Amino acid sequence: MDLYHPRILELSKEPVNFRKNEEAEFKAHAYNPLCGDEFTIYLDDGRTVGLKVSFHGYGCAVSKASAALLTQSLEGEDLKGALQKIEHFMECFESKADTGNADLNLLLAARDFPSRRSCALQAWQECQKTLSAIKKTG
Amino acid sequence: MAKDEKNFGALSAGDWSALRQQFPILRKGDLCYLDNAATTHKPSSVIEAMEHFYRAENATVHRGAYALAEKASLRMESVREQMAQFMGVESHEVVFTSGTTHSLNIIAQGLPDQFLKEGDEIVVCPSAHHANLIPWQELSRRTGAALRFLDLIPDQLTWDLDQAKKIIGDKTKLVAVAHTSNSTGIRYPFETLVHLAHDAGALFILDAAQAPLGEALHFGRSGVDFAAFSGHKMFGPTGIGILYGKAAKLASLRPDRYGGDMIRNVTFQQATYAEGPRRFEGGTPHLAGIIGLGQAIQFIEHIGIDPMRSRCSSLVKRARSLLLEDGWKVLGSQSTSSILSFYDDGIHPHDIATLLNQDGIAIRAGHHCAHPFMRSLGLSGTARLSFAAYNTMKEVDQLMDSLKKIRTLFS
Repeated sequence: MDLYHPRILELSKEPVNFRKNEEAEFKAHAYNPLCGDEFTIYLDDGRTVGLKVSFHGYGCAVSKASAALLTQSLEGEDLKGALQKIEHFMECFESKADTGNADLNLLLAARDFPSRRSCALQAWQECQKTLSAIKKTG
Repeated sequence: MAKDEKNFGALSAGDWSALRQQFPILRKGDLCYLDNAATTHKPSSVIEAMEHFYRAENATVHRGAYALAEKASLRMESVREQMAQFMGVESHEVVFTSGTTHSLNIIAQGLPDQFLKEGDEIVVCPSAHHANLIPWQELSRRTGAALRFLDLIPDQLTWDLDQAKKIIGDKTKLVAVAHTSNSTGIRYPFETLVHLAHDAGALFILDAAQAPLGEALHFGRSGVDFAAFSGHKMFGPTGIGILYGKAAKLASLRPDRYGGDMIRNVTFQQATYAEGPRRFEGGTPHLAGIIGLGQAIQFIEHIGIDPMRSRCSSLVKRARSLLLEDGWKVLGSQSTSSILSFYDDGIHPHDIATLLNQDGIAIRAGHHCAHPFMRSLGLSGTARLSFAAYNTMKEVDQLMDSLKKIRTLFS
């Protein structure tokens, strides 16, 4: 699989939901100490209309495309649904199973690049931590 | 050992193709390795000497009365002597450590308690490798002494010596800087800082990790109090490094570890410690590593540091000029070593490295363990090329061809 599929490059150049939202109720901070890449994922709790998600920061093509696809996946979900989506993606990533989404499937290529796995996973992992904490307290 | 010497004995200076053949990992010809600042490859002579030691000479040192152990002890001490000559110092000033990080930590953790107090200052460089920053941060935290940073001249990224003269003064107790930046390749004028530090009565510590293949070392002549470097960046094995310290300065440090082989006398209640390097060499040393390091010195001396430096300068010069021609940005206005860092605002360094890897080219990407420095430049990282004498102009061209493809992909 090609880590730099044209769709990944397209998403990294013009990522969806790439905007700050300092007013967001919750923020997940994805930081990769190995390369210094940093993203903030802004989550507005969607008790009535579902989650509103955006992100901002700096990272490689893979991490940027992955964060963009994360925001797209979680958009409109409730907390439980968002956590399920994240878990499903992470399970598919480990097993290389079909995610059911053509764009997300492209991220699975990172599994073959041990030093780049975190680029594809980090935003998802940090979001999972944040959402789990919200679910526990709330 | 005779076998190893014969291996490169026929190698004449300037015969770079034959030199490359000395490195088994490069013989296959499909690896374009440009990450020598991280670690260099190892010539057959080093690999075979280490293997021979384990196969035929294995014993520990300083404690056996049998021939094998005595021979091992002699080998270790002969490499210490060899290393002392390589650095221009005395052998009793040479400590074997596990590498640069270990060496710098021995100093930072071994300074006497009364050496630093609140109000004192430690001067460091903003481009420092974490190994030459974090030990001083921790020392500052423990003692209350403040960290002060040298200024770098914008774009040039070398030291602003006027500012250095202003901040190194009465309060300065310690100056810890690098010989050559591992992230920019700038060779710093550390000799000037040695004088400034000593005039202020401060200790001078040199992170020489990128120095051994760059120029002949004259630590004795330059007057540094301590210097640290690793064997694996100079064709030697991993896990072995050097701490140089002036004899009196070494004697003032607490040992960093206590146990066998570093003692003078032990009773049930207390112990006194060995003098000289052995004070810091508790436990069984990495003897095969020391023997490999000795071979690496022989290899370097056989080829000659000056021809190797000149070769690397030509490679860096060509890479720099081609990178600029193709629109890449290069860190620092000049590279004075075998290291060159470049970047492009629109292409992440890790993407560059991964895509180069697909063409068989190995480079380093990221913050190069100088994270605060990269942040201060507004960069998350750079792509770094670092050459050794076995690299070729053809490899520079191969790199540039691959970079052209990457630029097209991201355009």
